[in-house]
Amino acid sequence: MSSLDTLARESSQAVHKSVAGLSAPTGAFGGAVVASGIRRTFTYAVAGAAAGMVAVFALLILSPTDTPPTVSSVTTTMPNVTTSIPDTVTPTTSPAPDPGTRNVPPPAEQGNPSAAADTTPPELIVLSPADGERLKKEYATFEGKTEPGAEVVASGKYRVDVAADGAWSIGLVLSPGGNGVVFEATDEAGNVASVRMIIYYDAETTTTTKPVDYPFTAYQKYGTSTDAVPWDKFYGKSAPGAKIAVTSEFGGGSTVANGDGQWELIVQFPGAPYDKTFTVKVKDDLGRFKHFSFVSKYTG
Amino acid sequence: MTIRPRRSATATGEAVQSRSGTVRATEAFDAFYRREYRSVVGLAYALSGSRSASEDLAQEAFIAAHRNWDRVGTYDKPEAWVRRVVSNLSVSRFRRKSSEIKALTRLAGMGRQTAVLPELPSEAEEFWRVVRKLPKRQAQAIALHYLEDMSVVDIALVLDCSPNTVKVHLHKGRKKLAAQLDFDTGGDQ
Repeated sequence: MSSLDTLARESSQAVHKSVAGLSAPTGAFGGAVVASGIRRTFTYAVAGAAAGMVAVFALLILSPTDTPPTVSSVTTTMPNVTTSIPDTVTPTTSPAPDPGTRNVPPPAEQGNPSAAADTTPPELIVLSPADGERLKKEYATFEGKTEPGAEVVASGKYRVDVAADGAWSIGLVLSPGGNGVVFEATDEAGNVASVRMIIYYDAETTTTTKPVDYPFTAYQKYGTSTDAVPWDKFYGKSAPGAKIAVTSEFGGGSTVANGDGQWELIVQFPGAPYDKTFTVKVKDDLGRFKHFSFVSKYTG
Repeated sequence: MTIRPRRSATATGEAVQSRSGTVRATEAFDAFYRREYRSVVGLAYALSGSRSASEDLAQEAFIAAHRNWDRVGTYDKPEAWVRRVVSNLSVSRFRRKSSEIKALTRLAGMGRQTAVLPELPSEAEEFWRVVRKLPKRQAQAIALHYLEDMSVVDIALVLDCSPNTVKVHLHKGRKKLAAQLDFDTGGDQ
């Protein structure tokens, strides 16, 4: 092993040691992790303001991801500065603070003694999509976490399946424009927490492009054959990729027009009787067609 | 402004199609998250050099994995996916923001209030500092090779390139590292 390899291995070991004491921030990947991440980055934003650099970092830090996790409100207290991240879930139209419209930390974080009556609203976190998110698809999967054992209802009537660990998920079909949805979680003690959010469905405007006009043409090469198995060649033009079918009483075939719309096909007519004229139909899959006549001159 | 649940073909009445599959996937994700968290933070640390931002970068990668878990969870190696995300975040996004964040951290003394990783020994710090100066792909390949002890094939999976390309990145990266650190490469693989 070279000296470089040795140093690299030792440096890697140093990194391993430095993260050895870490553990995943919560028992489950939930709002607490997300909230702590946002709280931390938000702290930087406040410091940036103090340094007169808030204009730069408001953009950088308040959009930490393209698809930010949903957390209703995080409040950070700084020396001489108390502020909060603008709600990403709860509309700011709420007239007064309402614990039920906030993401509430789990009881353990509030130091709620088990001996006391449970009056703590259950944890309710919407992990995705984010409040105000604009979606381009009609169907949205809402995912979140709640207190194990709690019931979650969407918009007052759609019951959400909650897993044993409190993870929940529901698929909803959105209407074009803004869609208000309220999730309510009710724990076993009857405490209720709710999260309101608006999701926008930006229905794609269908641009009516004028279809390119590809004329359909079909030609017959011979119209007759003296071979034991009579055959003929057909060719022409249609839309690129169009399927061309040749049918008749005694045989047929099919092909696909090339990128320029050109096609050609040799068709055999086994069993075609001597000197009997019959009709051959050539059509494309756009419903356009042309008729030809064919006669076998095989006398054997 | 109406929301209606999408119903399964067999659903009747007011039944709401709930994607229980997603819930199951979430459970699997928790285990994945716990198992991979530490090493993903380590990778972020090595490639970003930031003791305070590494966990944020790792969390961002895991959030991305969580949001796409329906798809990512079906991969043979979802850990490769999350490493790809965190290594890309660490070398590109961090470079854009690192100097500003560090400045802010110094100004406001926020480092004391945020959980940060222990400082690396000076030799290790110097090694990773030089690695971070390498071209992005070379730095990623080096970090995955040494830190994660990954094979060329696995690195190729993470970086979404061919094994031969990985070999080239490793060769060039090691050569530059050796030059920068005054070492003999001892022959390339």
